[in-house]
Amino acid sequence: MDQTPRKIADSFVETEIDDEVVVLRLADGDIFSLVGTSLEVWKSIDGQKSTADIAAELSKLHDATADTVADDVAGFIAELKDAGFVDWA
Amino acid sequence: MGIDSLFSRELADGDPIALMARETVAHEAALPAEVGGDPFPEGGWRFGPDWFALGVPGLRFFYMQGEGVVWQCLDEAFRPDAPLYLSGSVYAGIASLWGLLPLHVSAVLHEGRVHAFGGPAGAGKSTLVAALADKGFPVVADDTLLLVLSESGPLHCLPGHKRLKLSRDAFSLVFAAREEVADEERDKFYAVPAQMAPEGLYPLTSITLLEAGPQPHLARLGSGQRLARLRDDHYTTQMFDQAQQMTPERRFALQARLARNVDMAVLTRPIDPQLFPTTVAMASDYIRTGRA
Repeated sequence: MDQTPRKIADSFVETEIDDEVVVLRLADGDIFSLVGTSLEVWKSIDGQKSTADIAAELSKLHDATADTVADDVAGFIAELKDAGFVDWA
Repeated sequence: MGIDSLFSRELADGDPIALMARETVAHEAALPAEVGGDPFPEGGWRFGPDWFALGVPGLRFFYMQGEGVVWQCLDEAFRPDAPLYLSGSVYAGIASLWGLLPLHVSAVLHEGRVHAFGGPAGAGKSTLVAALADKGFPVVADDTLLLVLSESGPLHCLPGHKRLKLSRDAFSLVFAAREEVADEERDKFYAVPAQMAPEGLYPLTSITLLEAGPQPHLARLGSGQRLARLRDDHYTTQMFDQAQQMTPERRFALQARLARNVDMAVLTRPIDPQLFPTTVAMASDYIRTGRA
């Protein structure tokens, strides 16, 4: 089922350094570094676009089929959910 | 409110160099048994809104903003340690109270920019900067470097204590004039480096972390790695956190600002004294070129 991820704004603080975004998880102080495609997915999560929308957007950007990208995008969003940064809108 | 505007107390006073020179003036006198309504700290330190107290074996130190430092010797056997604390923990505590960030590093100057070397006690920071001073890089600070956070743009640092504290063995590796005992327990002596930087505020350009390893090797750190390494706990950071009542968000913003503005590398160095010149050459190349 296609779901729409949204960021849990009060669970983290983020900052951009060069071409990376570093995210601080406020619950335990752990930090996560986002680069490349993972950063593109993170930036695409706006509470409006579904996982499939984000995959389609990235597939256009990288000239790849949506199916190829879909699993990676869904997998990464699941990781973000496990980390406590996103839930479903 | 941006991080740049959070640490402004020292700016209201004008020149941070003059401020530290004035506020660190110390004299010996009796101290009360209590501070801030609690017993004087023993084997540790405590901050109040405008004071800092440190209690160590045989010695007590108390600083009040605008009034300088009072210290008391409770056991004559520990009197020789007083200068070490005054130039170390007390210096860092005063700086923290005024919003100047103490970094546990030793540093040298090259073309008007500061290059710092960090690592745990015994990592060889002082020995390395002594060797670099001999190669034409004047020493800016040994052990504690203070960063001015109140201005935006490049991070500037204050000139620190330039007398090095070197272990007995280090004198066979570097040229430095040996002076009196600095730390009897660790068998360290004060030493005057070959060159010392003139007084002034200089931008901090790089921090190189010293680690022990089998072969000399220098690797630059990526941006996320820089931020992660800056999170390593150290007593000066804890002091700053307590003095400035830092929240995790503010601490993160400060670490990110450092990571954004300062180049960082890890220098792996073997314990073998025969490989010390190779380590020094790597450090000086990095300072000159910015490349690993």
